[in-house]
Amino acid sequence: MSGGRVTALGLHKQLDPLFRTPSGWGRLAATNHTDIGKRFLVTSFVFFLIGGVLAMLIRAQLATPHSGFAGPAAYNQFFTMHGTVMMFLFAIPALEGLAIYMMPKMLGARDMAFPRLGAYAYWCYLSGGSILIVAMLLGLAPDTGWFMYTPLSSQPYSPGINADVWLIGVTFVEVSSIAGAVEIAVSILKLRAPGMSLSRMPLLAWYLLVAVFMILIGFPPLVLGSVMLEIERAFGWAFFDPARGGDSILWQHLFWLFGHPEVYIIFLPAAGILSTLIPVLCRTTIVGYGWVVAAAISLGFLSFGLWVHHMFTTGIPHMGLAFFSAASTLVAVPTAIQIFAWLATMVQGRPQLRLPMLYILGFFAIFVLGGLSGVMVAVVPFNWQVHDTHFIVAHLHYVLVGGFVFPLLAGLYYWLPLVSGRRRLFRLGEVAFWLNFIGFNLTFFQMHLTGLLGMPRRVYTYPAEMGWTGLNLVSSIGGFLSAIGFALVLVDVVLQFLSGEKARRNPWNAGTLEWAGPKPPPSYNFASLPLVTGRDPLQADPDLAVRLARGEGALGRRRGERRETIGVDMVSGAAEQVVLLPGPTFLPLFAALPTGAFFLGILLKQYLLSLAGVAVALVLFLVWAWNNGQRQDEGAQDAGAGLVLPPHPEVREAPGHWGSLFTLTADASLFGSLLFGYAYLWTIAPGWPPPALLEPNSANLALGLLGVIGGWAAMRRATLAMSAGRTASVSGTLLAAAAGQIFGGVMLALVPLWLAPPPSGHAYASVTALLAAYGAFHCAVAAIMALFCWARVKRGFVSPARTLDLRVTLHWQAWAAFAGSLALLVIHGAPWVAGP
Amino acid sequence: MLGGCAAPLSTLEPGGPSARAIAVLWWVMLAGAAAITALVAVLLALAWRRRHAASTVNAARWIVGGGLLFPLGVLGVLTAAALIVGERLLPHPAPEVVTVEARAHQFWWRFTHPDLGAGRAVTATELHIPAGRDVDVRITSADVIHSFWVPQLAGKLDAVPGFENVLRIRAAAPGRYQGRCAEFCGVGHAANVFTVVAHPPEEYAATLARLRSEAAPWPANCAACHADGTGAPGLAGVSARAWPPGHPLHALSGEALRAWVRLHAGPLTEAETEQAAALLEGGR
Repeated sequence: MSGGRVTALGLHKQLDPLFRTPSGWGRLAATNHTDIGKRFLVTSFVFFLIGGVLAMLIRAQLATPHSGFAGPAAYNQFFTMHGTVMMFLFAIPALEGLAIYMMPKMLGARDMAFPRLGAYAYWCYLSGGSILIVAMLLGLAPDTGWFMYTPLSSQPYSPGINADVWLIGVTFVEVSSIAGAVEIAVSILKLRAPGMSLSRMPLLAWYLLVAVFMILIGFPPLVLGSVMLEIERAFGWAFFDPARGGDSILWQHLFWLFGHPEVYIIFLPAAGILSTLIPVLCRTTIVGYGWVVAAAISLGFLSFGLWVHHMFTTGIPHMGLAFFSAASTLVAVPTAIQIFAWLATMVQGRPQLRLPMLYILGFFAIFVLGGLSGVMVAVVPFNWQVHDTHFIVAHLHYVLVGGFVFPLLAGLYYWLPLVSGRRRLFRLGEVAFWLNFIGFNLTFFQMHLTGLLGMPRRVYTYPAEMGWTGLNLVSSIGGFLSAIGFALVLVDVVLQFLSGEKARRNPWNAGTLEWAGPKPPPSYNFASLPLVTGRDPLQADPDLAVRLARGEGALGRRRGERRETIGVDMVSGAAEQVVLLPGPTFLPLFAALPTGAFFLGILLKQYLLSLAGVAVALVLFLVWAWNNGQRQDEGAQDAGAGLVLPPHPEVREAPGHWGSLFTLTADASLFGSLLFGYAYLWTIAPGWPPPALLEPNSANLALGLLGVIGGWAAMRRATLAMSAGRTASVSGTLLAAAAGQIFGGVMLALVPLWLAPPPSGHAYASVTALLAAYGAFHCAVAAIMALFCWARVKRGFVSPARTLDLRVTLHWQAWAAFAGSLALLVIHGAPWVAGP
Repeated sequence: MLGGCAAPLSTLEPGGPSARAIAVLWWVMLAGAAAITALVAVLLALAWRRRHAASTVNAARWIVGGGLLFPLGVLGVLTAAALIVGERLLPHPAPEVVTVEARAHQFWWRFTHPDLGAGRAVTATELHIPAGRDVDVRITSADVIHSFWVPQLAGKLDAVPGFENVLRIRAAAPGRYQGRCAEFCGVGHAANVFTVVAHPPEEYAATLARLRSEAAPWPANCAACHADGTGAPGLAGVSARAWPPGHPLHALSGEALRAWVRLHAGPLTEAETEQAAALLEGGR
């Protein structure tokens, strides 16, 4: 730390080169959250435009009966891609982009917890999305609906590559979403300004936190379903084929286990935007902060109990439906709590009719109707009539456009001065709002009636004598009005960037930290980090921005090439560690390329390419992990503002510790879904019991258990020994941990290769093989990690104070032991119980 | 009877007790939704009228009252009512229930009448039922998932391969009721339509007997492919049929119909083409 006081400009000149993204080709090495967040947002908006063009094609086709514009083959691609693009390529990446851009600025940090992971997530998103769009341009887009119901999407009924494009492209994007979710969750929980306890956190952070945890739990069931369907399509296994003991309804369960939470994953961040904007625009504070947080969390939980309401017509017993119907209507309660909290906030404050407020009022008008029609479709008998009609099309657009797009546009106009540093010149935004609002309602309001008059979804044409003609024409006209509105928004935003006047530093008089700095924000966000004592730090101290720029907060210094930010205790917000962040690197891009090769290899059935991709990606990820950490103990050091903190590798709750646990949370959700699938097939699918069961083999079971549990026990011993300073035995014990997992993995791999019937014969054999493969894969991961630790110990990256590598590996060893044991017990136990 | 109906697939013009119960449910929910929308609008307007200095509102009153108690009360009543209505629509065992089977294909429906025993009538695209009687439709699929839906009679129920779902329908009066596949089933989904013909009970048995014994003079080429069990829709009753709107044959006649026959039937003599076209046009 250089002695003496520095000026604000001097501090800027020190910090900016350290955090700035390099220019030229170096842009591809960017890891800075401001750049990655902007890339997510801009790319998602491009996909939104593509999805919008597809919507226009749909409306053009349906404008008149007997339209000759498109045939069914093309139309099926239009609506499948419209749904897929909007849900996977626009909504989720947009919310992750918002989180990645905004969270560090709002929470008082200099970057996200895992900047390289954010960059990797972006490249995966861009690649997966591109696969889908390129396929569409080649006329090979998926055409079996964004829900991909089997058996229509199965090989016999969709023999082309179209369905594979969906499975591969979407799974690739989901890998990105899950990676982003891990990064966002850890960043919100650990990388905040000192003093920002959970109860002082801005509401947007709470909402995003709930949403990303829902991603961690909700996305894996669909990843699993996609893996199963791709294996069935490519290798002839049987998961969903009723002729071979599979069940097409299992796909629907896995899809909606993801698909319903997905709706709330999209809505919650939008509600977070509203909870942030409404008090500011009404010049007051939120009414019922605690209630709002509780409502967001309970929405997160409840949304996992309703997936069956998408399946009310599949023949599930009525009492089962009644349970899901009650749960579905119950969701209206936390939604109503938020709506009334916002209404009360508006009544308490003095609302101003500025542009973001127009979109908020538009939200109220649209979303309340969408919520009410949502309660209607949760009513089972009514659902039997309107399910798969245009009534549902109207409902879901009221919820998603009202509940996501309008708040997002409110947020866009609210934060644009922050991003661009400029303010709007013309009143284009108001014109665009009215076009959007009128166009939207013209498209979708009377579409409820179109549905009640019996018009089904996903028909490319309809006869003139059905009574739907005029209604559809109005919908199409409304759709084109909306399209003009969105085009105007785009023009407005571009004009603001090009020609807007310089904005005031805090144009809305907001209290949150993103406004406590120069506009546009510098690469390092804060020249020094604030010490937070309330929910609205900027309101508590109007001079905060100047004092932070002068380096009067924490970490107001430059130490060599270290990029530093502060890590806090998750609950209390007490400063706990100095987190060292990685700088720009090409590793995320270079790791995303072989990941893409893996997915492309599967898509094109070039499995050698996939294997090569896995091998190269593995090496790069090991290099990635190797670059972490330090080889000396440093101990606690002065962090400015009276704080004395150790660097993160020497702290128990380092970001990586939680990143590992949150990744395992998603992994556990996938494993749980697999066990659900196993039990579901066994109890409900037609064509059971299978012609041949596995002969339970006690030697395979006992040796497998010995391997995986022994490996974990050795890993635990090594970790404890290192922590206690008994370093001599550690290397050997780590090798034993690796050996145990390898042995256990071989035992699991023997199940499909040697013990069980061939997996293409019956769903029983398929799901047994998949269970064994899951276990064996995790044994391999745990073994590689143990070997990695062995090398790290040898090279001095691990010490009794620096045990992060060992502790993270211990998580994965424990999971391999647990999941491997459970897989073995199920594989051998179920046939034993059911056998003769 | 329904030829003049403005919207033949309308859920709001019920033709039987099941559809009527759901339509009543809709009108009640619509009234409730309108009232709640008005309430929110009034509260919003209230916020904009209070231009005086900021005041603090009673958070508990707003949130507990509006957000918790109010929806719980409304939803409790609604869920209970829905459960009772739904229970009544189920195919509970009852005397004198007629059973029919519906088997969905890409892209047509095959209907059979197991009550008739051996030689039971098989029809495609047209289901015959007695009016004023409860009918249980046993629904399954030969290929992908479809959904059996006759909006004027009842809600829809999916046709799932490997399973059988049972839907209770009842037509209050004789007539023709339009039905269609409601679950996306591929390129032919839009045209996957059918008709339910409800006969006066006294004519029902006679109609089915006639269908069973009908020996329409189809060209051999047609009859070969359309025999039952071949996967193509059967020809029984076709000569007396009016094709429903949305069906590919609904709007075809004259030369266009003969062209369609040539396209679908392979080598036919000119006389055979004429013969098939006449039969296809018969019921109009």
